Amino acid sequence: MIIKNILKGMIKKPFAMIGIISMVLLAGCLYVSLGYTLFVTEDTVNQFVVDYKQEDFTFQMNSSLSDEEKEVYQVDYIYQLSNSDQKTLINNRINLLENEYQINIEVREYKQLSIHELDKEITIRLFTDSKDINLTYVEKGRLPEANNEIALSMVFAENNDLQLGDNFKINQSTYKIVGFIYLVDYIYPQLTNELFALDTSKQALGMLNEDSFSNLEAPKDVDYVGKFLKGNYTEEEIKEIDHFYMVNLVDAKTNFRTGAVYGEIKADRAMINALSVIILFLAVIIIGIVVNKSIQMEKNQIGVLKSLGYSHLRLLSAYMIYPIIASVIGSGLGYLTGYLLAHPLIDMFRSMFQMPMHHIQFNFMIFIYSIVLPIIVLNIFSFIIIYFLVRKKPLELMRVKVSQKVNFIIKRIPQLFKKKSFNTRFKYSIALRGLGKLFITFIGVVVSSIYLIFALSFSQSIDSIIHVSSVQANYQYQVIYEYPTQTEKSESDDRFMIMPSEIIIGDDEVKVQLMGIDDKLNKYQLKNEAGKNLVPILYDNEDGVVVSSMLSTIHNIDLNDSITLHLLSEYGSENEIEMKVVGIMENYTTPYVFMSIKSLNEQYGLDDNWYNGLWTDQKITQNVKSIVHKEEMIDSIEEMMSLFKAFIYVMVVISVILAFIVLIIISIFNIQDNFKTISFLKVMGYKDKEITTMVLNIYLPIILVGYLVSIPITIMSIRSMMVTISSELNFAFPIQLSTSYIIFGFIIIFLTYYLSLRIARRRLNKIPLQEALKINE
Amino acid sequence: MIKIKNVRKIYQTGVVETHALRDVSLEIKDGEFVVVLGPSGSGKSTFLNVVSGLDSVTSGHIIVDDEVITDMSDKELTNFRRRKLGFIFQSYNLLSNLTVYENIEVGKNLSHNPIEIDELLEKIGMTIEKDKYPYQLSGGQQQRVSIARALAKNPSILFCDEPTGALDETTGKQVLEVLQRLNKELNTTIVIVTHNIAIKDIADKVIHMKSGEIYEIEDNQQKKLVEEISWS
Repeated sequence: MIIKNILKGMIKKPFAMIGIISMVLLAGCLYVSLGYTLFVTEDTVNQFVVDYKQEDFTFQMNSSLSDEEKEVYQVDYIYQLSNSDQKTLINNRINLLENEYQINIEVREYKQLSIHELDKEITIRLFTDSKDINLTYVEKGRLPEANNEIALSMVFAENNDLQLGDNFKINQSTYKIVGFIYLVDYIYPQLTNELFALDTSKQALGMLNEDSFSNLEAPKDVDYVGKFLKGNYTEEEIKEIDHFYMVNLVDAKTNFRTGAVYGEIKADRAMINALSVIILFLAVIIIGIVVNKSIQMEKNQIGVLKSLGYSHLRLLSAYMIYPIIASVIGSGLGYLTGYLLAHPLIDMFRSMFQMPMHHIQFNFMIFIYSIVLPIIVLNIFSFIIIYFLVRKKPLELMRVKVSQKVNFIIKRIPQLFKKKSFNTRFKYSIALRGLGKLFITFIGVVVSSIYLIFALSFSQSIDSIIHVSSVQANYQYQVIYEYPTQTEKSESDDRFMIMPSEIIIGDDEVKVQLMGIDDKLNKYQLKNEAGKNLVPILYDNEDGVVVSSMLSTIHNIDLNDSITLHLLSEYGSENEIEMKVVGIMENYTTPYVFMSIKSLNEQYGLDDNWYNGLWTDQKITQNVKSIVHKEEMIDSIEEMMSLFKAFIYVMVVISVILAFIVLIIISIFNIQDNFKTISFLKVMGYKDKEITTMVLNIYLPIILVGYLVSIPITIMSIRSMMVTISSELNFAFPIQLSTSYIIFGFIIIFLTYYLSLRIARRRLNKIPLQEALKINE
Repeated sequence: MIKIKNVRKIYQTGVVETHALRDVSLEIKDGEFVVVLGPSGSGKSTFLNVVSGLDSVTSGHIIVDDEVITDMSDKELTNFRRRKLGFIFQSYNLLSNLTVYENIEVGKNLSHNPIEIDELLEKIGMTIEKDKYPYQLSGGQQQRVSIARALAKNPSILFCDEPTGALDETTGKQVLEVLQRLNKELNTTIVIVTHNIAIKDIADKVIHMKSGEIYEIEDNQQKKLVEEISWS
């Protein structure tokens, strides 16, 4: 009977219950959708790397010959040898390394080209099928057997609507598409160091047969990939592999192509846990208030029931219907919507981390965390609140509360707001009467605003990254030659020397791109965040270097710091030099270290004339190791950022939903609490609009304060997370939040508040005038 | 002047019709002190609700100062109450977070021609308590504050629904004294709805109601002062 009464009350006033259910649903949906996405991604990657024998590490072969080798061949570098000698030498080296470290080494040859196909510029990296390491996964069709056949990466094919049997043209040759594939060493198919980002419709992986591959006119590049014979490895074992023959050794977990997926899973899991817990926490507080209010409203009735002999445990079990319904429906619907949402999310993940994703399978832990846990948490918390409310004695419950005492803050209002209008003082007195509601409003707005500001700051950072990348480069192409040259360059082009190197930070060695540049640059801008040209500063300091803000952020490198550069080179000996940081260049995407080309060349025993890269407007094809088109670079950054933008939109939507639910619940509580006052004001002749302003529209200052408080909290949180985020994502974010973005964010929160007021006002309008005439109970 | 002509009010609950007012007609002159008497269910509260524009009529007309309030929309009624009427309730309906002074301001805030709050405080004898909160006042004091709040906007008619219902005789009479004095000093028309028969002696006109009908209108030629009446 009591339950029936409670259920009827719930149906009569469904808003608060709907609000709580929505919050539990939101928390559940977020947790389940991302939970399943991460579970499937992790499950897939774990199986994929084992089944398809992903490399344990990759390295470059040192092009310098060892002293022993020099004695035999009488040259200094590999490229000075004939083809057959090169082959013999490499094979000897591989055999030696395999025996020494108990590893298997395979040569991963590839050719990378920029082609015009499907009405756009496409970068394609072509391989042949491998034997023991990095096996090819065929999703559809088969691997190419004949000379005019090709297999393409699955995601690229999907994004370009390619079908088996279609033709695909590379330069002048036409290939028939016979298969769609995934490559286990290109889970994140980063195709050049310069293009850190993905454009899955313009970046492709392809597979040809041996003949087609060797006949294809394009520069060939080689990665050496290795795998431990015993099947697994530790970080220490990787570190132990240190041989003159091997340079730029990177293990699979560190390599962005193969390791980025783990960082993403880790970061997303942390985010989703935090987000779900906060939403659940808010739901717990609100359910506590709803139950408290319901019992307060019915306390007389409860008193009567208790006087009739009902035990408080029986009453308690009846009132537990609130949390039970909210948690069961909320988490059940949350699980269901999250499960449905997981499918498109997994597809989104697959476009970034290209793997044959498994189907979603029931996961017991996700079920426990998304359904069982919220039900337990909400119900235990509610049980405690209800227990303390219903255990009071019958007389205490039935006693009529004649007047309410006022809290100390309200007593200060007349002094604090002496000069304010009556309406203002009235508003504050209503607002400050319910400190609990004020607290929830504040927390709700702070939490929502944190997500909103995070999203806005992120959005501004993205715009900034794209803008910086665009304005720094006045060239059309960045060309890197296969080896250094002294060839006369065109007057308008900028030359540079690029060397793969490391900086030593503590025990760690961090890969950087060491760039030697001229003192006069036409096509490239070396500027700091303030827009100051750093080239003169670089040339004024002989031992000075300029680092990119990406390096500065991730590794906490500041101006005037000394850094140790470990020069690794295919061209010369390895040595370490101490340099001083004289500038921080605004570049968030590449680990650059700039020095004067003269100083850099000196380190390698070369004079000023040598260079191995150009910033130019000409598309150079001869002796080119890599060429990056500026548009392609910007496009790839924009494409990559569009993924983050999708993430931003989701965050904005979550923050608005969260704020809306909290604000609408609070507004409705406010109406319930001031039911009689509202009716009385109506009787007095106050108009509905005036009453809305006086009774409902009272939280604007607290919303403003909550929003403003959330700004430094968010900025500080982003700063503290920046190192992790940057190293996981492999680029830095400029932490920016302009006034216009702050105002824009507030407008979003304000509009959400306004919308909640509009909805609550409908309930206010329905309050009857006669309510004021009823005698207080 | 309030003119009530053939007013009926029927409440429909499912198939059951309840006749709360049956063909009620009446005139109340400006400045009159009127007491509406009747037992529970006599229709006196419905009478107050429809005359003050808080509720609609089923048929008939109510004209207040030449304005036909039975033809008014909800918005017009709100405006009408704002300009013309004051209300006092059995439960004082003071706002617990506002001081005495601020509670009176709730009324003053509605008017272009309000009565000064300090003047009203003096009239109800509560100048000293002006910064106190409702919980610090007795029931009689709270009801006096509600009178001041109702009068602050300078209404021409004051409707009082059982104003002494929750008070003992002494404090109840204090409240009535204030009403009687203000009626005289401000010439405000006062309509009191009550079941307390003792109050009828202070009225100019007494309306007796039973079963939704006015069965007697009594013009009191020898009105008494509050101090002369007794509850028992």
